[in-house]
Order: sequence, then structure tokens, then C-alpha cells
Amino acid sequence: MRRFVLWVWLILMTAPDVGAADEWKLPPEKTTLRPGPGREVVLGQCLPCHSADYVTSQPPMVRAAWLASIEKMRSKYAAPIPTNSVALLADYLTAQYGKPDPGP
Amino acid sequence: MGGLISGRIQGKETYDLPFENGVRELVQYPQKRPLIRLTSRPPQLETPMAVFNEGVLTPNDAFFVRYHLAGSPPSKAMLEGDAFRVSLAGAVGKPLEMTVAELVRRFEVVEVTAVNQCSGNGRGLFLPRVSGGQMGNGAMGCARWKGVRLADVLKSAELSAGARQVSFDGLDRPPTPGVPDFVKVLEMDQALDPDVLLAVEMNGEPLPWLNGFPLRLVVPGHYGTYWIKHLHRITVLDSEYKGYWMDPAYRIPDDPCAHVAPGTKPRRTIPIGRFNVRSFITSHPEGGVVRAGEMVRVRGIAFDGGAGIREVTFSADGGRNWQGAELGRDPGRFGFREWTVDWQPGGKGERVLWAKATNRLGESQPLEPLWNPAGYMRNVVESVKVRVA
Repeated sequence: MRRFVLWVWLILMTAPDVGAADEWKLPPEKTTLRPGPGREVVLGQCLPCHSADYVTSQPPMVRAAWLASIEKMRSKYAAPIPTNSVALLADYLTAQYGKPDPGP
Repeated sequence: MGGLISGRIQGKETYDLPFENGVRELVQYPQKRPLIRLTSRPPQLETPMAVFNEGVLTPNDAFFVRYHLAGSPPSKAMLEGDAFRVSLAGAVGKPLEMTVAELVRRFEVVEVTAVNQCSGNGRGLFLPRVSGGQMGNGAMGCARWKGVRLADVLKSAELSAGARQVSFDGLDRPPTPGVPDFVKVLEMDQALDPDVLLAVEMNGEPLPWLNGFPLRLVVPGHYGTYWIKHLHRITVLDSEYKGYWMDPAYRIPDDPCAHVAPGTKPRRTIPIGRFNVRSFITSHPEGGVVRAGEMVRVRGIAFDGGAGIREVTFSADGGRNWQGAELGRDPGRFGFREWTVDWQPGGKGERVLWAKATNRLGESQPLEPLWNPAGYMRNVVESVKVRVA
């Protein structure tokens, strides 16, 4: 019996990996967010529902456009972002992934 | 407009999409070759343009991937064997529920060659830029889809007299209950169109996991938003469906060209529907080099929303002169139509190559891009700049 168990163990350990396990496993997330004030808010309130590349792949946007995105996430996608976090979030996104408002 | 393998990020190859902030990693996913990764949770992968030069059928391992909700893709346990069942209920006399094996046993199995294209294909090229998935033009592909006709399944369930619409829900799930589930709707006349399939195979193989295994809706000529993956619930409705992914999402300006003045909002919108006419040069990447005086074979693809392609013309001088391309084998009115043209570049220097398709209704492509705030339905004549050396 012990010998049988050993054989099963050997077969399991040495059987060629045909990729059966990998076929159902996704590669890890890798994108990280730039450091800056407000980063923790993004980590805590945006990234539970999507990966960071949803943020980092956007074109550079002005603060009003980031605010519109935040508002869409709150009103349409139930993002639990408290009202008093919105300004900090918009500041971070504009500073790290945005662009300044066009001049007058 | 091409895009090139351009460098490496942390040891991985990258692909440079031709717009600001367009550098992406090439990442290998299950059953896929390395593709352009837009996002990882949920996964969104784009096909490199050079793949479309391999043939008019896009290989399964290169076919683009687009999910909406972080509870995607569904796990193996939810999809394999008898665990997966599709149901048809609502305004019908005889509701159904069956496995995929039962579905293909019970109904006639048919095949259609059709393009699937993301509504936002080419969104990254919009100017002014718009927020959303920032893709180049690789969120499209053409495959042979095999499955059963939705119409046959609907009829076997005995539609009620008041049946108006049909809704489709897949097993991709929202990350939290407050996020709207991804449900799409077809009007009854669309749902009864014999070209609409419940597909189980793609290019002769079971659907890849990331393309909807084991069952997806195929709506030839229509944007991918309707092609629900991991389709498990079909509901016949006797009233008009109200839901986020039909309204306000995936809507276009109610205008024949689905556009508004750049930076403005449409006054009225309608759900996005059929593809407009598009064509691409696939044989030459942006920045490619050709020899002066030698005959060059330029190749590409064209498609539309189901009328079929009538003509493709080619220009190597910014539209001053056009020459007709030769069309390849007709794949049916929903597929990529290959075209080729022999071009002899004269003097050395840069040339801007254009291809422009016209369908059998006489609809074509604009020379200037049309804009809408969601970045949908791009179909401007695309250009590829090459150098004659």
C-alpha cells in the first residue's frame, strides 16, 4: 500500500503539466499607482472594483473630467466613495494622471 | 495608425499604440498568444494589427477580449459540463433549461462567418480624447461561429402574443451588488433574425474561456456589446427593458452618422446597433519601409454591418489619386473581406497610404473623423505612413 501511494505521488509530481491548471488561471495584476497624496483613497475605494490600469491607461484629463469619472463611478457603479473624499481623489488623479486646466 | 512592438517594461515586450499614453504590455493569457493588455481586472486584451494580415479569420488565440465587470471571467466550476445550463423564460408558453450538449442535440447546428467588433474600437484615437477603454483598432476579429439559431430556440418555447424584447445575461458578475449586472437586449425582430446564433464553437474549436465558453450570443453585423459571453439566461419580455447597459450606457447620438460637434453632448441618443463601414491596411505597419520603383503588394481587410463590401479604393498620395483594389473571396456579408492592390512607389520619401471601403448600400468612410462623447463607431479612413527608400 505504501508503495502504491509512493507511485501515485511520483506520478502526480512528475506528470507533464499539460497546462490544465494554467488554462483557468489569469496572469497577476501588475500595474501600480504613482505615490502621492490621495493614493490610499484610490487603493481603498477604486481598486476593489477594478485594476489600477483602468486609471493609468486614461488619457491625461483635466480635473473636471476626473471629477466626472468619479461621479459616474459613485452614481452608476455604486462606488462607496464618501463625499469628503472626492476632492482628494480628484486632486490625486489630476496631479498624477491628469493635466492642468487650459488657461483662459 | 499601426502600432509597433516598441520596447520592454520590466522585462516584458510592449506595444506602442499610436496615441498619448498608449504604451501597453504584451501579456499571455490562457489559450491566448501574447496580446496587448489594456486592463487586467477584468481582462481586456487587444489584437496586434499584424494578426489581421495572417488571414481573414482571426485565430482564436489572438482574438480580442473585453469584459465589463470584475467578477469576470467566470470560474471553471461555473462553466464546465452539466454545471452550466442555459435557460429561456419570461413571456413564453414553454420555458426551457438545458446543458450545451442538449442544446446542440435538440436544435439544428449552423455556421456563420462574422466580425465581432467592440463599440469603442479605436477610442484611443479620438480627438479630443474621451475617457473609457483606450484601445487602438485591434478590438475586432472575424471568426466562423457555429451554434444553433436563437430564433429556433425562441420558437420552440412558444412566444407569448405580447413578447416584445429578449434580454441576455451571462455569468460574468459584478464585483459588488450595487454594480449593474451586464444585461443586453434585442428587439424581437432582431432576436428572430436567423443569422443570430447561440454559438458553441469558434473557428472549429470550442469557444476560448475568455471569449465566452461554453456559449455566447453572436449577433452578426452588430457591435460586440450584444454578443453576451457565458450566456446562461435568456428572458423574453413583454415590456421595454430598463437597465444601465442599455440606457445610459452604449448609446450613440440619434443622427445618421452617430456624431456631434467635438466636445458637445448629443440631445437625443439611441442604443448602438450595426457596424459602419471600415477598412484597414494590414500588410504595412506605421513607419514601414518599401523600395522605390519596385512593385509593392498592399493588402488589407474591409467589413460593414451586413450589407457586404462592394469596393475598396487605395491612395498613396493623401487622396489625390485613388486606385481600385481587388477583392478577395467573399466570406459572406458579415465577414472580413480581403483586398489587395499592387502599388509602384515612385520617388523616395514619406507616403501616406489610405484605404477606403464602400458597401453594397453605397455607404463609405469619411476622410475626417466623426466624434461622439463615448468614443464609439470610429470609421474614418485610416492612414499608414510608410517610407519609400
